[in-house]
Amino acid sequence: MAASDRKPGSESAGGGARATCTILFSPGDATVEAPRGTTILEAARQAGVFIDSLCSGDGVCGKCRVKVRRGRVDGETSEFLSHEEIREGFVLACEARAESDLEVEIPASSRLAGGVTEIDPSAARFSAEDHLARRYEKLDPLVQKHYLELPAPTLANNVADLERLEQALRQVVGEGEFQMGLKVIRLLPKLLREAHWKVTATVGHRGALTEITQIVPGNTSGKNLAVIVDLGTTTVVAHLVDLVAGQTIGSAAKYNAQIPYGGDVVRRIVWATGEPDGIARMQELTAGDIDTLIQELQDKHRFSRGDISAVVAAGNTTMMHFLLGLDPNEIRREPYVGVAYDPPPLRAAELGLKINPRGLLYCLPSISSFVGADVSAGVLAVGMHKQAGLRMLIDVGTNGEIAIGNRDWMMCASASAGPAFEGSENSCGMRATFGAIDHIRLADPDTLLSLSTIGDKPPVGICGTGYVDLLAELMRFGVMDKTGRLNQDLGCSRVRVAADGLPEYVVVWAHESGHKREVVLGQEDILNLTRAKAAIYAASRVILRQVHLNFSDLEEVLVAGAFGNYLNIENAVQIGLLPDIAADKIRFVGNTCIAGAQLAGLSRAAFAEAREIARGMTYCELSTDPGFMDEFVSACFYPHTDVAMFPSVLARLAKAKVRT
Amino acid sequence: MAIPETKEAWAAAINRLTIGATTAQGGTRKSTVTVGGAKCVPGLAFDGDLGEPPAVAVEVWDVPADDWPEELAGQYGAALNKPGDWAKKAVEFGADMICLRLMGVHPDGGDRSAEQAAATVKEVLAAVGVPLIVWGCGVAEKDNKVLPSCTSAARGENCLFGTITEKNYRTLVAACLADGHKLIGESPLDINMAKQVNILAQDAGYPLSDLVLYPNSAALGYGYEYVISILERGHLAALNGDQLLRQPVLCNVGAEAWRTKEARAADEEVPGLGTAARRGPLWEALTATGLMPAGADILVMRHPGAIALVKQGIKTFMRAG
Repeated sequence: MAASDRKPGSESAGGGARATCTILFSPGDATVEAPRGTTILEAARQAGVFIDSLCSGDGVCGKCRVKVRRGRVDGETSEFLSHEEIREGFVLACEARAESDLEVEIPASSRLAGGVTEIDPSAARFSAEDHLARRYEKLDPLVQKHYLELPAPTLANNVADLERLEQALRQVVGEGEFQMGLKVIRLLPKLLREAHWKVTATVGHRGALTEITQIVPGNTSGKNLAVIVDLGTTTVVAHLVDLVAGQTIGSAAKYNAQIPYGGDVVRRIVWATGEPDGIARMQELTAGDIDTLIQELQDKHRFSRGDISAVVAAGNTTMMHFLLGLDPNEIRREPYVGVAYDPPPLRAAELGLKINPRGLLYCLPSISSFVGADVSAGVLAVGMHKQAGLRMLIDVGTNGEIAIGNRDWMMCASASAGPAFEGSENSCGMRATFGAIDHIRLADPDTLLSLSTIGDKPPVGICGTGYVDLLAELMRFGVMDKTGRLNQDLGCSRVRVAADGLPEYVVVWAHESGHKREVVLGQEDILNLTRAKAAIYAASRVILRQVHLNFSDLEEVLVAGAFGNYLNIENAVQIGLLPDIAADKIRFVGNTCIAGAQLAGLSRAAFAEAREIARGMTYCELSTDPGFMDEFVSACFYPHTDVAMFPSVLARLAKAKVRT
Repeated sequence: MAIPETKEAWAAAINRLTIGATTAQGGTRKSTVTVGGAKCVPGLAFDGDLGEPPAVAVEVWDVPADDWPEELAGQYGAALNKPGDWAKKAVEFGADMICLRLMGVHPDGGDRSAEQAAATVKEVLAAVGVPLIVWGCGVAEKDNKVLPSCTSAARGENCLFGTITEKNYRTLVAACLADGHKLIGESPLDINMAKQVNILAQDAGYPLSDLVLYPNSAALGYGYEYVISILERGHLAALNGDQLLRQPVLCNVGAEAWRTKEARAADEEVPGLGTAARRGPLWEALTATGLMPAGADILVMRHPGAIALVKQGIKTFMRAG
């Protein structure tokens, strides 16, 4: 739009050609002063206001629509906005530059990403508690609180204060080396005597080393909490865990606040290493996300942050680097080396995590530059490293990761699948949260047979499992052909031409939706999903071929990912995301990253195992495998170009054809 | 000691496919062309049946080919102005088939109508007795308007129509099914995508046995080795039993060869490369000849000199086994 005037009457209030403009964002009423000509997106970043943006400001994703309520902006018109929207004052935040003081309203659709939502903790299908009971002898958290009644010193027993404490501790935690900060040692004489030698010691473990992090008077050992964090490229999930009872208290999730800086890890690395203080900014955003989630949990469950004695985090290697503020630049450059894959426990406060000031941050170990701690956690959660039978773990995330092996050996690979199944790349995609369509069936191309949403709320978007169902159903009824193109010749009332000139399928009409807009599946969305499913399937084929095995050699295929609460396995096979093997050999295991991290938090033995898993895993680089591209193109088809690999799907499609 | 048997035993053969229909078969052709049928790697007759020899189709356009270099255009002279005369010339030059390219229906190349295109098809059919390949302009929307008129104009003649692609196949598949023609499936030098086009045609009800593969081609010196290896991979996969790659293969030799600098350049531009009269035809003939041992079944060509050389080469090649 050419410098258009939003509200002529209020022009004077906006001011003319000043050097800086004041920009007010609503809701939230955050204000920022920015030089004239600053884009709204940049101003929002400075104000700490979240506007969804996948392309980090290249003007190509159309996610960052905002409404200018007052003031003048300058910038290009965008194909992403309808005439109606332009009349109402909508602009793309990355393209509109402030020409005067502004009042900007961020609509829910652009804000959604920043919000916090409670998620169904059962989405982590592998409950850590169950596993603890089954696989590990006892609750033995990484950070423990021990109530100690020390014998008061006498002439006969005149060991020093610290050694006295250590002697008592040794009786509960066993032999080993202790470590303690000078600050704590200096406090000991006064503290021990005033507490009449009755104190609670907080200790953190790593291998044979035990750090005494804090001594407090009296018995506080009943209150010991940890926050378990799954740092996903797209989604950040936190669980609050009671380390004394070994139970999950609550959970929360949000979109990663780094998303405006790029949808994938490589874009973010480029941004972070190209900007001054970029790495520090990413670190702050990560700490900020964790803080937001803890705040949410605190509002719900009423606890003191002082009681959180540990944060246990897992995520892909780049996310772990951002969490620690490490320079990720070498991750993306040959020979692809990270700064640290298995860092020691660190003081959480040093990283801006607001928990007990003496609390520790534990990171699960990463495996390579592109296979992260989420995979060590995943393997730990499903326990495939303990079993004789061969298993494959497929993590359907932005950074699709695959591990294969058993108790004798293990290999892994990473396939950049993109965030399509996490909903963040698609026109009506969303996380697996309230209002997301997670399951759908068609009676015929025009009629929905059933549709369910998470939390039974009116539908506002589609999450990963919903997309799996939708693609399978459209394929079954011939609305979508095997290349993924929507068929406009069927006369189907739900297929129409979208604003981009390509066909789209209307899943939910505006009057039935939760936000009075249509929920659609566009041709571009299908392309994203096709690439994502193809990358995952191709990666599993290549890794199997490297060890001269077939899908039929696998005892089980375990599908992980936070893209829904229930995955229709048959549909996932039908679209060629998963191999066509006996249905009872495929199991949806939910978010194994958080389950594994939680298991590690609750059990020192489990944490040690995660480190062994990471050390023993062989990484297989797909980008240099000459067969990968071939497999990928072959898999960019429904279900697959090599139809012989999907016999049951062919049989089902043939039956569907007879019926219609 | 007996000499061990070293014959390669292949699981499957390339489909045998006939183009054109004589009066007895419901058409008006004087001759038909059958291609495919190989049960071994081309040239290795000791392993199995070589099948049919490669066929030469000669290009005829619906509009004058104004960008052809003098050496090529001069061979056809005034016949370039009339598709029927052009086709007769082509048959004189040795064409087993005519490949009628509807360049003039392209929106930027004359935008000729469906009726005009159908009339040209009829004109060429009336002018010659050999079978016909009819090839659209490549703009999906326009081809979908024009080609159905052409298939119905040539009804009963068992022509070979092209091309269907992964993005655009429904209309032409339906038209060819209705009017009884063979089809060319086009893919961008990718085995998987070639298979995908075949699957789509099959899903639309078209038999795999009536398809011809056009995996795209390149001229000698312009990515030629890549084309060769794609053809070889496809041929070997077919012999190993892959249903989706058992179709005969068409290569667009003339169009590729006559795009090269070596074929087009005037003598003074490329000193040391010989005269245009030898350079161009040889470039085309060599391009065609190298594709034969890789598995090409239909060679679409242009220059009479090249055609004569290649036809001679085919005889030698089929005898060699």
